[in-house]
Amino acid sequence: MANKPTNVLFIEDNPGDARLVREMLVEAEGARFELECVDRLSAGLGRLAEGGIDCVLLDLTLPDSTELDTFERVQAQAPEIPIVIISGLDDEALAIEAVQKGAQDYLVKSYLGSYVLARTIRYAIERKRMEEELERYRGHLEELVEQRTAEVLRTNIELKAEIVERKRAGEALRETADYLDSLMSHASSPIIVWDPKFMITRFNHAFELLSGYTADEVIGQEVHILFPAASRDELLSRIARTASGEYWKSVEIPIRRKDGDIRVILWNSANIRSKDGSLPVAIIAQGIDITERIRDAEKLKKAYAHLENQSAIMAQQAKMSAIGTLVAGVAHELNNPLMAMLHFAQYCLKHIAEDNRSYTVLQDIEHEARRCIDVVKNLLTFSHSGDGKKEKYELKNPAEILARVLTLLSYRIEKEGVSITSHVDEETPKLRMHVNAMQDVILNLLANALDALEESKKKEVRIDVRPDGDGVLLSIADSGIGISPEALGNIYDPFFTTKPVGRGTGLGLSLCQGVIHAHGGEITCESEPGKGTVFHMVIPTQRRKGAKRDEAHFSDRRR
Amino acid sequence: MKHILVIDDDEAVRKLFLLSLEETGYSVYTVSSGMEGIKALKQGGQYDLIFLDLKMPGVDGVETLRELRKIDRDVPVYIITAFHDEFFAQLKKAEEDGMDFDVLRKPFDRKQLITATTGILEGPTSY
Repeated sequence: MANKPTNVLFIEDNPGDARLVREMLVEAEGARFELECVDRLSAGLGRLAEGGIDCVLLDLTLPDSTELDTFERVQAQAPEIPIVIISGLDDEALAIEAVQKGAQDYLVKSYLGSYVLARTIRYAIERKRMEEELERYRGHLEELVEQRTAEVLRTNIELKAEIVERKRAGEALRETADYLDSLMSHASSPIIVWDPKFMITRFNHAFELLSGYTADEVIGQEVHILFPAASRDELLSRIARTASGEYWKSVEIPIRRKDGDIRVILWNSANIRSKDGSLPVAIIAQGIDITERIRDAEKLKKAYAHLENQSAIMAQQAKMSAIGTLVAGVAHELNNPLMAMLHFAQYCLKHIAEDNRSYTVLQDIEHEARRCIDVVKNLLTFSHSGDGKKEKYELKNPAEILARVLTLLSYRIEKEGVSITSHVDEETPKLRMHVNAMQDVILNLLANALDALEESKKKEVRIDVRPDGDGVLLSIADSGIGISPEALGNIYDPFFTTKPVGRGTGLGLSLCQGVIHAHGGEITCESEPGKGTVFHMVIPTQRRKGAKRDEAHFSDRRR
Repeated sequence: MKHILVIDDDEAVRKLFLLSLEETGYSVYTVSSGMEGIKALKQGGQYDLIFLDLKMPGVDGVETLRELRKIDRDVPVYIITAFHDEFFAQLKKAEEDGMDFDVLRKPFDRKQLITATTGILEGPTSY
């Protein structure tokens, strides 16, 4: 401080005063003052504007300004520079006013002294500096206060906004909850919510429709009221697993409607957990009614099984038909050679002596040839229309055909000592049938019965003909050897025979079955080995849909 | 002397006719096709009985019958058939058209053949 000079500007029009002051400042101890003097205010203002002045000494009475105005202009020009008023005795009051207005000090001219002047200047600068600092602090404080206030205000606004926001969010949440509730309520799938105690808390519209209960009727009740009574326990234990955290995915659980009907529903369930994720607070389940689907699946399964069955039957029929055609073809091929062989043997027999050893052998040839011819005849039995006249179906009483067959077999029946009882119900209706074929069927079955009785002690055949529904039941029972359970499944198979070689072709029953089916009927067999066998044939009076095809069945096989 | 014509494509059948009718005293002439049979008649052959097989390759039995009848309306013709012949329907039609014939049902044995033959040739009194 002592090194740097203090620059003082003295605005004084009195040169004497100016000189006085200058001298005083030079003398001053402990400080160096650089004094500049100007005698007019305007000059002073100009000098001030240039800067570098630390203090202004001001005489208020100047030629180009008046009293306080002087002070004010200087202050205005350099508000940061301390001003010390140098006043006369007369204008002390004015000087005081100036101080009140912001001047640092005033000095009365008469009492000026070097020490006082120097000190006053120093103090003025110091005071000004402190004033400035104070001002600064105050300004700063004010600023701070303003800032804080502004902050508080801002925070206030923010808080208010937050409150509004929260309110709005609250409302939005309520709206969303209503919205979700509405969504769930109107969802097309049945939805149910229950709590960990299995009490129903939510029950949507779709479930109302499905179950026949209203939501009011079930909410607050336990979930199991919706289950069918029969499976209630099992389903309850399943539900209990959901409380322990399991969930269902595509599980079939039946629902019992209010009216008792059972619907099968495919369920998905989910657990809604508490905040900390430990326990479920609610279980929500959504389902799809698959009752129809299941029924359709069952129907489809049945239809498919039926179709498989039908196609198996058709395959069998096709096979039979193919076999029949093949057999007929082969049989035809055999006719001529067999006939020729027969004639050749017979010729030889005519031209050889009876006592010739070859005679009996030739007889055997004839015999075997005849056997072959019989086999061929049997094979062709069902594939022709008799003598060519009775090709069509005829309306006939089955008893007539039975009588004819009994006549054909009469020699054998008598010879073998078989007792035949036949009972024909009076009410037996006439049947529309392929007479020759039916005759062959009955002939075949009766011949089989006679074969079965060959080794039996008890030789009885019982024949029954009676009405059955809108058709006829024809039963042929024998007390013969019977059919083993293993063979029973195969009796209608072509070429299946239990007869010794040469006694049967195995075609009889398969062709019988074919004929009966062609008439729209059914043939069944019951048998007990050692006890006997019975064949039942049921033939309807009304031919079924397949009948047209069945006529072809007969004419196709005419080869 | 009575003359019999046998028309059959199967050699075994022709043979059996020859063998079985050997001692009847009738003259048996066999041919193996319908064409040959028709030719035989066209060439002026006089037959008292014709055995005709239905199922033959070439000109079949029915066709042969029609041609034969054009030449000779009256000669007795025995159609040999097993009755399952596919030609049966055609045969019935021929019958409806006025073609006269009889049927000998296969298979038949020596005795049946001789009986049928003599029956036709000597009349019912020969039974």
